[in-house]
Amino acid sequence: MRETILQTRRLSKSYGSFKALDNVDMTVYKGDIYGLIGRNGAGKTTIMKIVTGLAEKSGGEFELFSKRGEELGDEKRRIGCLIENPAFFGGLTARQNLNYYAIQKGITDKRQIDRALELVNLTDVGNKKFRKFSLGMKQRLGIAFALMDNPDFIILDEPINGLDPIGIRELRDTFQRLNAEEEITFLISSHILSELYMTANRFLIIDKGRVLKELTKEELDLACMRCLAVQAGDVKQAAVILEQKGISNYKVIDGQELRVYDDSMKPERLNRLLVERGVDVSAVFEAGISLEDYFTSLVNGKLE
Amino acid sequence: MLNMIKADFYRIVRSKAIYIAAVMMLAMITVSVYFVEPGSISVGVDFSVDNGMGSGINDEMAEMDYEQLNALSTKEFRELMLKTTDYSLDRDILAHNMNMYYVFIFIAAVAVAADFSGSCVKNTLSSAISRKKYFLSKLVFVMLVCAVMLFLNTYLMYFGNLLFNGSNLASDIWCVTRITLMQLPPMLALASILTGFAFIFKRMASFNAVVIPFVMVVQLVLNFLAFLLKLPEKTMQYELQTMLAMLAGKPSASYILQSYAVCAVIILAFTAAGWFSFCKAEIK
Repeated sequence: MRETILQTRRLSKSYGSFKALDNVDMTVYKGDIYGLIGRNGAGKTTIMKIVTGLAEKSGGEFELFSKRGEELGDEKRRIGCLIENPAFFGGLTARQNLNYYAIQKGITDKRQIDRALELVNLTDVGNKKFRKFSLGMKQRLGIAFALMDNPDFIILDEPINGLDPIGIRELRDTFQRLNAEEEITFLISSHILSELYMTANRFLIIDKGRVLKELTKEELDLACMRCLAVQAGDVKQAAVILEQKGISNYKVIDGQELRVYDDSMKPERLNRLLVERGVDVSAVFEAGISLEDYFTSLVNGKLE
Repeated sequence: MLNMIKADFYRIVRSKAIYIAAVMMLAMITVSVYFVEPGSISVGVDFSVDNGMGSGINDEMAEMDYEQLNALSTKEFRELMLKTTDYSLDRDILAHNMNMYYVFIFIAAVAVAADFSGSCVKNTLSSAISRKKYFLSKLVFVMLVCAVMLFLNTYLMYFGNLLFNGSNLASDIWCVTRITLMQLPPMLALASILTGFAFIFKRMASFNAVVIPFVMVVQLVLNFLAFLLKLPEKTMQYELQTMLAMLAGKPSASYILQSYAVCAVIILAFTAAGWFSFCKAEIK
């Protein structure tokens, strides 16, 4: 069984009558790169703020490293965070800023600061004052802060904001390498689905504070793959007929729809095959959508 | 908690604010010592408390009327004052130590309000330390630095006074040390007021807008209440500025105990207010 790093149960947050989070259930396992996808204001940052203790929950509960949120003590040291904008002291240099937090955390090995700066390619500007940093450099320093102290779990809120394409790629590689080599678990939020798709292996799609879907990368691929969708009266019988014809690359969706992932199959041929064997087919159509369309359809309630 | 305090020391010595505060303190000392004016930029009015440190008026000055005294140049005034024998300028300066409030504002601002204003507090709270430890370490840190600044002020002033004015207007070093120690509780009360406000208002602009006029507003309100409710004059002796002046003199043991009790109440009240405002607040 996989070790659970973070689990939320019916997590809720209200601001007056406005519900920022509405009964959010999610589970992040050790080794995941867990992507939180949602529009601006969907509740991604609120989840991260509650988990890191920057905001109080209104209802529900969460466990981090198998400890209830309220009981977290030294376990916090196992988390690295970048929530909202990177915030540091403008008058201090990048290295001094990291050193300040290293002293706070009781880190005596100052090589960790150099390593963190190196991971985000800031070694050359380590002695430059934070206030003179560009947006991208500030973002990198925020990530360096999260990576410092060898955390087990890294929480990054929109980490690629302000980064150039090469920087985005470098960071993606860094996250994936740290995940693979050091088994660091990541929780990353973004509203850029395509970018998160390239980084994460599990996803939570959230909108207006409510979970729309929690799925693995394989499930997301499957949901977006081009296919023939069949809506029929008896989906089970249709499946049996496909098996008899040697077509096994299909999936039953919610007991009402059959999705056939076979490039050689044409809609008219599939329709004829099923109708001739007595299946009431109400529709056969080409399905399969882009990531963006999938997300939009989920948000607009057109997909279950 | 110790790590937090160490980290804040690391940061504060790299910030301009602490040096501005030190320069401001030196300027106040210089003005007070050189011009033989204990109040320098003192808030409020002169104290009419009997603090047993002499009047600062010698025979020559006593013979002058108000207009003659006003017509004296700084140099003439200094020369006159230096002839005084029964006056301890250093003790009188310590009696006006409420000026340190403005130095303390810098310390609370750089230690606490800057953390909130720049949102750096979220880095600490999200991965290093609990809110309770954060709050307590900030409170201890501000109090500690304020105490250090207070003693620094005392000894700079003491030796400055000896240097500029000679031993005629000076007490002994143990005397000024004793007064500073006695003034420590009201000074810590001031530090706790500022820390409490920093946690309540969080942002630098609102913090400054409240703490800068705070002492004057409190004095106005207290005077108004005293007038309105016809409070005995003695009540006003427990206002912090008067308390500092009284403690620099020769206070009775009962007054010391009562004033310290008032300080304890102030520290508790502002610590509680700061904590309750901070403990559940969403960190932006």
